[in-house]
Amino acid sequence: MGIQGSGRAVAVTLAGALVVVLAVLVLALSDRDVHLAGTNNVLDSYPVAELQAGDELCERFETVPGDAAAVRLSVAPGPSGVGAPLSVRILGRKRVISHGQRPGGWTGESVEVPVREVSHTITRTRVCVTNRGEAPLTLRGYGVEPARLGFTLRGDEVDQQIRLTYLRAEPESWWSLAGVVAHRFGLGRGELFGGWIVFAWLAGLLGMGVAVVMLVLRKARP
Amino acid sequence: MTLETTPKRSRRLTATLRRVPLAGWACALVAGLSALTWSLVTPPFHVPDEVSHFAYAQYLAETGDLPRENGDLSYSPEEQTALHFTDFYLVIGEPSGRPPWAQVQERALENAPKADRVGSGNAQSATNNPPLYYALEAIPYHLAGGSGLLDRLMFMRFLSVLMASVTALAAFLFVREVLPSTPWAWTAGGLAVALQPLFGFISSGVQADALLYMSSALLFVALARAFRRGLTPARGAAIGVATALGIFSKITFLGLVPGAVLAALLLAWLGRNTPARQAVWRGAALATGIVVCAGALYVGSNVLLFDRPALPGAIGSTAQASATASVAPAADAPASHPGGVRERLVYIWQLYLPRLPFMSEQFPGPNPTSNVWLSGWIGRFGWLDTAWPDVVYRWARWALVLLAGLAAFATGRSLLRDGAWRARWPELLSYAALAIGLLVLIGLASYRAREDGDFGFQQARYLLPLLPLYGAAVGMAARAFGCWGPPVAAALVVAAWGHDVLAQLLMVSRFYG
Repeated sequence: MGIQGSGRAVAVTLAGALVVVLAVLVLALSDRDVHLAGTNNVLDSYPVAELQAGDELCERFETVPGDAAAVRLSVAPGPSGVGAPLSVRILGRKRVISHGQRPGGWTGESVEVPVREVSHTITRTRVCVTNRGEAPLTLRGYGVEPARLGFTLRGDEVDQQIRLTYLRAEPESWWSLAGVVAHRFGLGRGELFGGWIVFAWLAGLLGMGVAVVMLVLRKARP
Repeated sequence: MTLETTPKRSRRLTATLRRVPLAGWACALVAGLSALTWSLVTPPFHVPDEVSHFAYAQYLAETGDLPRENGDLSYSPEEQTALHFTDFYLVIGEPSGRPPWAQVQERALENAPKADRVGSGNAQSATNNPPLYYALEAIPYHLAGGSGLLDRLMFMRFLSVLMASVTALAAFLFVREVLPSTPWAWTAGGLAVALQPLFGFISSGVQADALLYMSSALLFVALARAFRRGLTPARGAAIGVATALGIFSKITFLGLVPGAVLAALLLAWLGRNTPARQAVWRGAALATGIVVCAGALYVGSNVLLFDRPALPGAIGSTAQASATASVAPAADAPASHPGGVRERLVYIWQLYLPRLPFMSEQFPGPNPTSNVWLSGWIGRFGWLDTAWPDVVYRWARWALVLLAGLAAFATGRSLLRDGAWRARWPELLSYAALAIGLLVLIGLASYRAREDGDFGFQQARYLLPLLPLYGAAVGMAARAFGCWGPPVAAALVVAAWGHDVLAQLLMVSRFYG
């Protein structure tokens, strides 16, 4: 291959490779899934509560994120392997902020209970889970001290917390979640490095790509 | 040195820098952008061991003293506060954990009471590291001294980013020295290094590995220049300074020292019958002298100034979280009893290569070649808690094997052509010794960790000091395609960019999605 031909081959290959990479990126970002609205970050290492028929467990001091439309509970499967019907209430100081229920018959190590969508983040709420079936329900979580920070069950303050994961309403692509991701990106970064860093990040990725393309084309020039 | 020679040397350095091709600077820029974007996408302290490296740098910056092992495992109250309010310990090693997402958490962090910047002086896994990296980090730490801890952390990360740029530039220059007849391969090799996601990720944090990678890349290029152009006092000094930098960066660098010594001996031997043999001897003596002085300075200051063991520490250690998050104990949990030399050798062999029939089984679980080194090179991020889907590892591992095979084929073909191997075997032997020395050191440290019950020790990032060889391998692999080499190299470089971008999107889904 001559020098001219080599330069053309590089340009064509570069264009082809870019198209493939960009197509993969677009596909990855278009993947639709139900995303998290938040989590209480409690490890679900141990079974921490067994709810008998009719029992209600209330996790206190919860921060329920805005856009939460379902609550995922970590559970230990019972002997039958089939889950009981459940209900969840999210309680403010004076009123029920949201609630929902899940019929029995679910399986697996987690169960999602749909609730009415929470419009904005609410702090210091109680999230109460009620076992509405006959079989006991075991929830997973982790210990906490002192007991007043844990959940209440049958009138007792227990020095344990349950894992609660909050889900958004509908399956979404990363494109439609971009604004939310951008907001989250800038949190917990200090005073100087706030929300703007997501734009710096995008510019950096783009700049990297442009530099690579220009460099390869420059080297390919006869 | 006289006053007249200083400007002369400065002019010579400027002239040397001007001779670096534009493509080399572009590779440095791309590496800098890659590490910078990684530093923006990675939440505070989510680069492995960043908590400990920050603690070391903070203690040194605040007190002028080095950390020491003591019974108190907590960091400075200020760092402990930041870790608490960012839910750090609930997120590392826990793929379903998330850093602060709510404004209320942000406000709690901002309103946290001001805490003392000086703790007990224990920097956990970083405590025994040499001080150079942390002393350099004291500069951005103090420059941003008036701001909060998370701001200071970001400024400190930028120094590592700068080191990543130098590493990529050195890798480019190394490929230029070893493949002088193929300019497009320099760019391909340099960019492959610059865009390696694991390298960008580790270099994005406050992590002494960034200086380790930089010094080892400088050593590789210094040796390559000496082999190609002959050993002179200036080149000997460059080899010595790069080695000294490495010794002061991380003890892991000691794995490269036997290879560097062998290289110096071979360089001296190659120059024995040349007219410039006096200069060659002086170069070898200078390299040796600088390294010996640096070693003596380090050991002496440890014992006399800082009340530490003569040579404290070893290759970096994993924290408990990463240990539990990566390789499950069952995966390689055979004999944890102390073994002899033979067992150590067998262990090290199987850490990288398939078991031979006469060897006892050391890794009954997943094969470390494929699951630790190859998969790790493809990328596991965060505290090993952010991984690609399995299918990516399955296919990408084969791509790496293919790349290695092509590089080996092209290297063999090139060496056999016109008996080129006769001229280049000392150089190749030196690079092999550098690599083997590092692999053996990692193996010994891994063996020791297993004896201590830490089964999650091995991580692909320990191989990153060999990045210049990776760059050369990519260049050689493309050369295997003959006149189709440049287009293949272009495709490889774009694939590397895509790999880097997708890896960062993986972090986005892990921490923000």
